[in-house]
Amino acid sequence: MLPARLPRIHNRVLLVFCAGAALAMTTTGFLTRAPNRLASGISLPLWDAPASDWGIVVAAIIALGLLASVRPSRAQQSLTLLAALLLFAFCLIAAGDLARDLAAAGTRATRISLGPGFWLLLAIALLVLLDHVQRAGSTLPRRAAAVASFCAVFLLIAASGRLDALSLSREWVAQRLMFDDALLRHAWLVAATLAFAVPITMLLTLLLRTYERARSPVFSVLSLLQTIPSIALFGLLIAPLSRLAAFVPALAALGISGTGPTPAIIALCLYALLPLLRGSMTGFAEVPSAVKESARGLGFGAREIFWKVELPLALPALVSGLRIVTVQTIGLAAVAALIGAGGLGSFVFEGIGEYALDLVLVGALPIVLIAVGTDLVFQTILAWLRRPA
Amino acid sequence: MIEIEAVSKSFGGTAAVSDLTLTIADGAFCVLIGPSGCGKSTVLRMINAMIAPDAGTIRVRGQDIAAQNPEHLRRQIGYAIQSVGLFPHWTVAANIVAVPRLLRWAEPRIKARLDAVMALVGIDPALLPRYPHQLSGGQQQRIGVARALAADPDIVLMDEPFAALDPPSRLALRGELSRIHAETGKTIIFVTHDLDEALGLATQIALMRQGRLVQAGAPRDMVLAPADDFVRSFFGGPQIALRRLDLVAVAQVMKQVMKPGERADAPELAAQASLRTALDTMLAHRCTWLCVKDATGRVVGTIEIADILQAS
Repeated sequence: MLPARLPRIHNRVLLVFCAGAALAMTTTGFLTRAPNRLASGISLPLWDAPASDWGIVVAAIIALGLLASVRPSRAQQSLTLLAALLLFAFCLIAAGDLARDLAAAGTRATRISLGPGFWLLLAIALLVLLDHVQRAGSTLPRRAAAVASFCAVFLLIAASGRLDALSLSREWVAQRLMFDDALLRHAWLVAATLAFAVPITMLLTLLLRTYERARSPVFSVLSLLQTIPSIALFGLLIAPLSRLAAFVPALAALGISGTGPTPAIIALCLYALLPLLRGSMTGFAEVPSAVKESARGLGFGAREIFWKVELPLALPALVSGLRIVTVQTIGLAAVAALIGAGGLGSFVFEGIGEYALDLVLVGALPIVLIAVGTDLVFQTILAWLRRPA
Repeated sequence: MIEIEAVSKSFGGTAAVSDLTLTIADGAFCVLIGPSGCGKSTVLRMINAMIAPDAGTIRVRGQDIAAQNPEHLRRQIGYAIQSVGLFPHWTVAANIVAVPRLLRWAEPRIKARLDAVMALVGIDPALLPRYPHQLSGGQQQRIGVARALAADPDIVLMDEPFAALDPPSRLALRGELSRIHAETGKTIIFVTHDLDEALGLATQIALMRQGRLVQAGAPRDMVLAPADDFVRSFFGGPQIALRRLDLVAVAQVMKQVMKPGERADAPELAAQASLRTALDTMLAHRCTWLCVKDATGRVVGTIEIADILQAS
């Protein structure tokens, strides 16, 4: 008898994902049911969901494991993505269906929260997607289609009402009107921060390029600012700003006060300056001096050297700085809710205050998704800027 | 014509150029040479107003450059440097026509000039859509030279343009530049510290030392009539006798008579070759005389080893 040959593993990452998913599915709770917000809940396994739901979840995980030993090809990649999409969709559907059954059996106060098993399975599906998107050789339309298919599946399932029994959905529905305001407010905070930080960085870059000596003190101050914990910086700004508003009524009339968006935007700007400035200084410093020298020798004026040579060559570094700062500000702006600046952070703090973890997620999940989405957009722009000539 | 009159320049108290006077005639190939730090590059960069002199005047085409818009002046003067400095984000074609674009020439004129410059410098049209990082060092410098010539300036400044290249590309580009100079009659001012390059290219050499002009003149004068020991040692060294042979063409010493009966087996040589090449050819063929041919390939005379010894 021939010895049985072990299948060759072509994609170790996928195999690890598959093993992780199997472990998460069998050892951790899929949903948690509690009689009310305050009581601690009981963990429920995936198997409590309808068999047609969890059957597809299990099938998708097995498919991922099998695909790990298939030679990579366009078909293998598409099938992997399809398996991840099925895992993603049926995790949501299984959670929704199980929650619906549990809610029907319980009272109005019953809370059905998503457990670690759910989050791990969902994360694995998304990691497979991310792996697919970042894989070299994938073209931009294919990447966009992959991300869009996940978004579309989520929206379809959510719109069908299948997730309504989950307390996360119920919190979200309860906060629906406030959610849109908070989302807009959050975006507005980020936009306002960048609207101030970017011109200030441009000015500082110009100054530091002229006055080399100011470089190290400016960077020292900005680095020091980075070390102040965000909550402390928000707090520290309250007193001087209230006093300023009290003494100069014109400023108060403009809406400047010790709490609210003003100190939030100032603090976010201060945090944004270091990465932005570092990006722009490095970008301009990396323009080869021979290129600038020959441009000058050929008769390029100072303005032409800047617009035609320095700026285009520094652009990738500038955009990288902007990418870091935008993602950082999206996250940090959550803390601004503490001083009354609003935004998605207000759900997080309200949720913590009320011990309603699902409410925390109503704020936190969109922040994470927006940050990741923004990062992907910037990555795409950067890949285009650095495209091989 | 470029007239440099009593020009001095110092950087932070150190004199880079002191009281330098030099006139470069139209159509000259003037090589500025000297040990590193002698101020030759500073002189070059003062001609296109990249460095302003502390004292003295520089006139280009009869006009004091201090009174001119420096950018406008630089666009009328070609410029190429050792590190080439091609624009990495532009294609080869865009790099070459950078100055015509700055001068806002009409597109058809730019296109016509691009074709002319490529033919002049010997650039493969297949390179045009590529980017500088896809080219070899020699190709990059060739593009650098093309870019310097693109707006058809009557004056071209070159700061050690071939110093970073490997010997074969260096020799090839030197030959191309010599041909371009002969074909176009442009005034070229060329900085180098390579003696062979200077003797091979120059119609006029200016030797500098510690910011001062030591001697200026034809290559022949520099080698045969050195003004002092520094010039003698700079141009002579251990091979002074061979360098002298470099400066004399075979046509100047050959005899226009044939040795009957011996023509058939004698090696041949071009009339414009140097005596050094003639000697080298004789050594290679272990013979004492050569047939000399003109540009059309017609045998015009003979040269013997005795003629070389007499001329040296």
